[in-house]
Amino acid sequence: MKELVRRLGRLAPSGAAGDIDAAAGRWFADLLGRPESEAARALAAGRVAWLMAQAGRRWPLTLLSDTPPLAVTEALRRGLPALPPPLLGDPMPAAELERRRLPSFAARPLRARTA
Amino acid sequence: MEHRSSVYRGQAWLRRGALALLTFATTGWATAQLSTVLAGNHGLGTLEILLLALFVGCFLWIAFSFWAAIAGFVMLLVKARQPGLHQPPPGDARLASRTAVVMAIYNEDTNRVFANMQAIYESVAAAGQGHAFDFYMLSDTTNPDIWVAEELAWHALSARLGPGARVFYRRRRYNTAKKSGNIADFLKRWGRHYDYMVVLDADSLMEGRTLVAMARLMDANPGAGLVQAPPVCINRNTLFARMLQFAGRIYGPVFAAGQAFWQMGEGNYWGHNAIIRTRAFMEHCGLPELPGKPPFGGHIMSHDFVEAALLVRGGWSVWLVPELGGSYEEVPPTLLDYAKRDHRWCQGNLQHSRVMGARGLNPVSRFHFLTGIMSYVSSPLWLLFLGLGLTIASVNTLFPRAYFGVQKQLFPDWPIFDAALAKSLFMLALGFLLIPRLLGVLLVLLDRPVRQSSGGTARILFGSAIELVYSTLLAPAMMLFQSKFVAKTLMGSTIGWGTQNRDDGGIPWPVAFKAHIGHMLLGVFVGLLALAIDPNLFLWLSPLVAGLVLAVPIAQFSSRRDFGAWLRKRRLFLIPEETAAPPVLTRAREIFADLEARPRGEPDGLRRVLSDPFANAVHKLALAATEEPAPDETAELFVARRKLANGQPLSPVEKALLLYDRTTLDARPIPAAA
Repeated sequence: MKELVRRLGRLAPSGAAGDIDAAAGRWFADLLGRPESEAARALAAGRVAWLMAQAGRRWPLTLLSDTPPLAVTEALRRGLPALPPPLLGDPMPAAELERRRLPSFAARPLRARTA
Repeated sequence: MEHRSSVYRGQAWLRRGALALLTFATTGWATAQLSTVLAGNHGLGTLEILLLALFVGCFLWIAFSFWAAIAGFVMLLVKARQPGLHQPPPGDARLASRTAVVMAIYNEDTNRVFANMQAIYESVAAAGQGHAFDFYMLSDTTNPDIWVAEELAWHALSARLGPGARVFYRRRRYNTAKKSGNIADFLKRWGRHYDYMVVLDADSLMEGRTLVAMARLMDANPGAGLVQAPPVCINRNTLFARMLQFAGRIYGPVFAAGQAFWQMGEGNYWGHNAIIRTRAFMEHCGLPELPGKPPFGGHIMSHDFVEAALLVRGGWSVWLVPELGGSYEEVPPTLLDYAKRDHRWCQGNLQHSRVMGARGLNPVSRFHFLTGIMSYVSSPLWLLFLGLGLTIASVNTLFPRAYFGVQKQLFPDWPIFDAALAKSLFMLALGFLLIPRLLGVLLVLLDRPVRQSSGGTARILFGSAIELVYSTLLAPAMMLFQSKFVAKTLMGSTIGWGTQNRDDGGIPWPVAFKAHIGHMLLGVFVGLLALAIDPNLFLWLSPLVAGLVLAVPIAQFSSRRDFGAWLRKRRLFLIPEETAAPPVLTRAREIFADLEARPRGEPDGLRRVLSDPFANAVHKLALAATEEPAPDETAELFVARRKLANGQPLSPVEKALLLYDRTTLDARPIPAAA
């Protein structure tokens, strides 16, 4: 536990929850071969893979270590669920469903004359 | 821009012209005969003219269906393929295009939908083209317990399929515009990653080879916007559903081929089991909210017809390809479930009256809308027709015609009724209804494998005869149901979006009685009235009277699973898919049985996510995968958090809110009182 705290202190000196998450995300991204920009997704996926692989029990001193054993990397990658491709956020314009205009045969209204 | 091939369009109009000519000619002839029968020797009165007008409205649709079915029969007999739809080159070349298979789910049985998805995934992999397909579970589930169960089922499925299995899960926070909004949301997020998408319903099953064949068809036809594989109804056990399955399997191909015959590249979309060109769909099929209130305003309910019409308007072709095979769905298990679905469809189709006049639509698309509307409006028209016929008969009985006029005459004015003509007209209408069915039976009898796997000649003939009697008895109750749905929709009543019952459960007697009491009373009244007018009239109306009077036992007995199973043991109403289940169905059943045998775990989704670290991690992963933002710090969220902390009961909406809340999700373990 002390070792984990020491590692956290080094990776996220502020100790804020957001910083710890970001640091753990970067660590998992590196481990799982994901770009650092996907750190948040890597953290979520890595956490699942970590639990699936029971890595905490099998390799108790590995979390956030600088040199995780290859076996950990392989076990986590095996248990990693595939994530969907990046979001694109494309528009999908609403189609025009206006009715066809029928020709108007009515006389145009007279404009009221004002003085 | 026009993407459709001009090759087929001349032929398409020729086919449609021929069908229209035959339809109008036979309707004209039948109307003339009825006019002669009604006129007798005293001419046509107002009521008779009204009756004729209703007859024209109803008969047109019967005649059109008949001639289209005849065309379909010929097409099937000669094994004709759609001209204008290029067949892909034979071989197992590696697909270069990318397809997303998307299944829209809404509060469904989690094990069932994930079993179906896994079976489809494996089937595609077995077809050797797994690299070309990604799979998406698109959830609009509102029940937070089912939501969490879906997430865990998704992760379990990914684990079962092994590393790299491209099955993704996304739950929408707000299910705006229901299924069409669900699909649109997918397209906005990921659509451009794919050339095509295959849309599945929660009860859809498709063989991998069919999905590959559809992708190849799209590759071979760059002008095709959509290819629809008509689904075969399978997997049900109640008597009602098995008879529907049987009818669909025996008569369905004739009608589907008939539709394909005249629709060609201006076909329709059935809402699922279809492959769609994503670019075309994204460009043209964004659905607007119609002005005004539901049922005619608001979101478009039956979006499929509208989307097909918009694709065609955008210059893309839409094809129905009956010969694809390997496409399955389930039918509602009971008459009341069927009627409930019909109510929703009725509302959706009537709403199309607001769309069918839209600028630039192809005339064939407008005709699709009209066909959909008429499939429901024809019921009240028939009801009026019958009511008016009875009124005329009553008037003639109450006020008998004078045989001698005011002037002295030697011979009386005998009322003339051309019985032979009336009989020939009746036979014509009967023939129009029965011949397509007989042709369907004939096709099955000519196809040895299908004949044998449907129970053999004698059982097919016997089953068809029983099904005919059953559907005849069912028709009056359905006519009344649909007339009620039309009337309710016109009066502004709306029906909600419920989960379809996909279990084989019977209808209890009190429920059947409550649903059909009105039908029974009307049947008794019509029967007594007909008897009072003329015993012959009673005989003519006896199928209708019997159907109404027996509505309760018909609904109850047909909803029973044991009757369905008993008849299945005797190889009656058998379909080939029951004799030898398709591989994808067999596999789906195996997976489902396996999933059902596993322990379920904590049923309360929120409690599970807050107490089980693994469920918590999977839930957060599902949120992160779709980049769902945390909810705003609203009063509702504050109240939900306080309730959770105090152990007070939470509403489903509050639970869903907390399941998005990072503060709550990170604050494990769950408070003891929650």
